[in-house]
Amino acid sequence: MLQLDQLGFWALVVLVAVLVRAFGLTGRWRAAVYLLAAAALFSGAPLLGLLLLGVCAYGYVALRVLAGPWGIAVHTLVMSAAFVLSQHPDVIPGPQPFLRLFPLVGLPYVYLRVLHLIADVKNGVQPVPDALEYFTYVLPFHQVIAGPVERFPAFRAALHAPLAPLDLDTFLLAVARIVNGFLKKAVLAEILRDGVGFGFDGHGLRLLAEIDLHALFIYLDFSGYMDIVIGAGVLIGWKPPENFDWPYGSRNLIEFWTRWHITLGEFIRDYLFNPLNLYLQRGPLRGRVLTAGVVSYFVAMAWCGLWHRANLPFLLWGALHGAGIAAVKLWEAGLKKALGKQRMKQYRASRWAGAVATFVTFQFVAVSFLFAFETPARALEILWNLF
Amino acid sequence: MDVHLRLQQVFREVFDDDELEIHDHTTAKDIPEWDSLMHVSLLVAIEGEFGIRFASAEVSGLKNVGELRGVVETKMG
Repeated sequence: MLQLDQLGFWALVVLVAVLVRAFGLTGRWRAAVYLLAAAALFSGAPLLGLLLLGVCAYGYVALRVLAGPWGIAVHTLVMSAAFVLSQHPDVIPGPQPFLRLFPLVGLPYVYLRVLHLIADVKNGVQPVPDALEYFTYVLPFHQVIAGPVERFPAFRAALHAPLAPLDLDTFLLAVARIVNGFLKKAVLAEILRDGVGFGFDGHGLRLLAEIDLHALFIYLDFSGYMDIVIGAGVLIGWKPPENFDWPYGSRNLIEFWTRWHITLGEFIRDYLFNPLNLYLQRGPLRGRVLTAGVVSYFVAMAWCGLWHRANLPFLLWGALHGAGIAAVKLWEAGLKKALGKQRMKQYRASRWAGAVATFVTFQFVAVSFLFAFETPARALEILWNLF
Repeated sequence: MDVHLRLQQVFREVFDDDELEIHDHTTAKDIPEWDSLMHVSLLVAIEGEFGIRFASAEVSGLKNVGELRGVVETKMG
């Protein structure tokens, strides 16, 4: 399959941009061009393309059968089972099972796009989409590899909006965004990886610096990818939503998840945290806001971890963030009780307190990455070596 | 008491701030404590005050106090 650093991908971007802009295509014609581009993208990996198409086709059938909450539950289970099996094909018995051929590329984002539509259609928020628009939306050729998690209404609004010819300013801004993305992802991130190595074999402050640089590497790599995808999106008239907003400047973990992988954070908030928290606060935990919050944050972030990779390290990483967010809420509640309303307002406005909180938040995030990418025992060993 | 004043009273109780003033254009960014957890608490408190029930999609889709007031008024008939 074509990757962002291959000329073929950029030839496809230029071809699509010229086609949709020269002819001012909107609606179904533009969708058809995007979908053909997705077919061209997957032509180098036809099996992957067919398997993703199969998942998407299931999603489209699912939109039409089983209404209401049961429909959401059944289809979420089916989609989740396919998602987990694709990562652990060895559990399927028999030689060379079909799923063993299933590469992971693209599925996590297809999974979220399909689930979002299933939830919205079953909840009556929007009608079943037109088939062409549906398949174009769930298989976006320029953002299928690593997102972001765009919502269908935003995609549809852009698809039906008139497309102006590309003016010089827009073109230059898009190219600058792409160059900036490559600079972050292919140059700075790679210099960091080659220079530091991220073996985490040191001790004390040197090790802490390596952990912090590792967090910087992840940010540069991922946000660089987003810059490239957004720049390409501007050229082809399908700009994905922004996904980063200087996340390492966040004052606490709750704020962090509104500035890091923003579209995923919003998806988790809207489709998991809010419904679960609403259920708990209306029923079993009525009047116990903090308890309901702690449970909901924990469940939501554990799911977030498993979505990244269905294994123990990522579950631990998600659970750590759930625990961290719960700790933020408990800390704020305790502080407000201890300081009183007026001094709490002063604390919130204090730059010094903000700087300390930002530093602590960044260190937590940086250390948490160890638990995602190392075994739990190795992550603990690295932590031990810090002291 | 009109809907706006009743809403303001709920906001003051939920955010524990007797001086809090809300307007149609007020958003979560204007109230430091209005995060994802307090948003749900706020809606549950509004449900209790007005005797209404929000749908899941409404919990996530509200952009500001004006939209919230509009949904409450629609549900009250």
